[in-house]
Amino acid sequence: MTSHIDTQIIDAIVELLDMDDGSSITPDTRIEDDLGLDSGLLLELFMALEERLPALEIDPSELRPEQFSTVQSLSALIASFMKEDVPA
Amino acid sequence: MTSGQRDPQALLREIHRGFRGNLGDAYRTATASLSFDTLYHGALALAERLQTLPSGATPRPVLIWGHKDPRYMIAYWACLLAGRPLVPTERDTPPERLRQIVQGCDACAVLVAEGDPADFTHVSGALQDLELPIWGVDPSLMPAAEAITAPPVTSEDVAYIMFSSGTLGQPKGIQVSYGNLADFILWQQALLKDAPFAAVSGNIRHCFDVSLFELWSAWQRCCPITALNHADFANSTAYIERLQADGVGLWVSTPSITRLMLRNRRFNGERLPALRTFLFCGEALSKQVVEALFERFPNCRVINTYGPTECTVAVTSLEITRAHLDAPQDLPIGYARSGTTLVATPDPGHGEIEIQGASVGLGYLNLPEKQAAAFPRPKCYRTGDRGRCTPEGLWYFEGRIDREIKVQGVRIDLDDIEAHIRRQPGIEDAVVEPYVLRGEPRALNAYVFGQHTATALQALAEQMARDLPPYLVPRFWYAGFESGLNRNSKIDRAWLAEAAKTANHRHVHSHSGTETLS
Repeated sequence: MTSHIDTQIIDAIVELLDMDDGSSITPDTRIEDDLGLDSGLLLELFMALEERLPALEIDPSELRPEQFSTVQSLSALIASFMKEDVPA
Repeated sequence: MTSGQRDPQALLREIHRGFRGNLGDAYRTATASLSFDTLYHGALALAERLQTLPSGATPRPVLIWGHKDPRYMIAYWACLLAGRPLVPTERDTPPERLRQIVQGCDACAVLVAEGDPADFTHVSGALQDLELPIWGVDPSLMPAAEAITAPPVTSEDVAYIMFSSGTLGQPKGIQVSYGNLADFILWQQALLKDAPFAAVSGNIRHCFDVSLFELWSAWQRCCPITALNHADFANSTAYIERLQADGVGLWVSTPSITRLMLRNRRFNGERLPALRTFLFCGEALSKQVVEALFERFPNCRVINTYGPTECTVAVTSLEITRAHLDAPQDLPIGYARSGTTLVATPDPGHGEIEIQGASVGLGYLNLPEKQAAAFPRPKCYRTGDRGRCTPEGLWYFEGRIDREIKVQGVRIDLDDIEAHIRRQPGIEDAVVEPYVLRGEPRALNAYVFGQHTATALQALAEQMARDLPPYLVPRFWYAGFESGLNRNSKIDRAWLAEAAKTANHRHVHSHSGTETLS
């Protein structure tokens, strides 16, 4: 099951990495080991997500790469940063 | 004013004397600070100690190892005061490369400017059996005398050696003289004379010569540097808060670093009202970056510069205006700086950029062939860059003549990396190309020929990571292309896209925690 935040993350990655579409990205796709996002691109991804999700306020100091590895675990972490409930 | 009118040693000592008794901060990290007075005394004390090292006919270089630590500043000045060529290296310089650099430049000591002052195992492990003094830097040391009695240096003596990519054999050591350095110091002072700033950014690693803009602009005005530890890049919000608290007014960076900061919506003139001047060097500056800065920081000044490390940081400059953004051409790199001339060859006005004059450095260490090719005459350097010049002397950068590219400000010779991969056992051939996003190289793709599996690609990437700095290790590895795909003499984009799509094996090399920005 793909959540709203999953979709936003996948869309943001497609845009960030200039991919044709998001068909190759699933919740299990690993952010660093499969997609090759380095810390610079990861920061760009966070900022893009802040733009896409107005309720999202990321404190990068609390968001370390070791806390997530896949789209799914990033999604869970992003959900915890949302200021209010978002329809899943 | 040109360097010929100024004795470099006198200029440096005058700047250093200005630190004395100044209790204001010279360097600020997230957790530590260093006052100018401590920098003054600490550098003198360490310079005295450097004087005790054996000296040959010419002073042997001293390596500085560390990353964005106040002790780096002390080590830097100690070398300058003692007349020892300084060789800046970084925390993530791989052990084998550190060894090559030490041996390549015949260093006489290593100054460890970070970490636990009692634990040098990370450096000594790499240099065991070289019998080299490895010293820590103690900011609390006081000098025996208030002035250094170092031997006089001339304009032609080596002030620093920067090691550039060059993955084959010895890394390439680029030597810059005291005369070059003095000429640079006076030029950047003139360039920034009207810029209002009382604190300077600390974006650039000290092993990258663009950092000289940050260091010397701050040292000349005795203002603090707000240093960014590159392990904290992901936390740009915290850095923006520090820039705000410190009132940083001059921002020096590569366009890549600024583009990254601009992704953080907090990077704006409302939060950072003191930040009025942006100086770029190290990469081609895009109109998008300047447009964004003009929007976020109304009334800011943007200065673009260009130059190779071989010619002391930068040799052209100009302030970018709305007219440059509205013009159909790419942004210009500026006019030649005073004391330096640029010419295009073979056609005047369009061709390879050749640099002549006071900024041209001493060239490569122990590489006579490369030296002869790049420095055909004294005080003349052939850049390998293609440029165009208007009748008024305004220059435009048009790319490289060879296969050297820049990824986030770091010079990378694709041919060198290919050659390094080819030397590994079982490799038929390899092609390395930049991984480009929105027109900017962001990482490297490696296409490997021969019988390989994803596991073999991983082993290859890991071997490369042991041999080379992180930024030279390709991130995306491909093998097992559709049959019939052989290496063309000229690789085109369609071929690469096809190889990536049909590759049976793909490996993503993650640098896990290490930073690739400069």
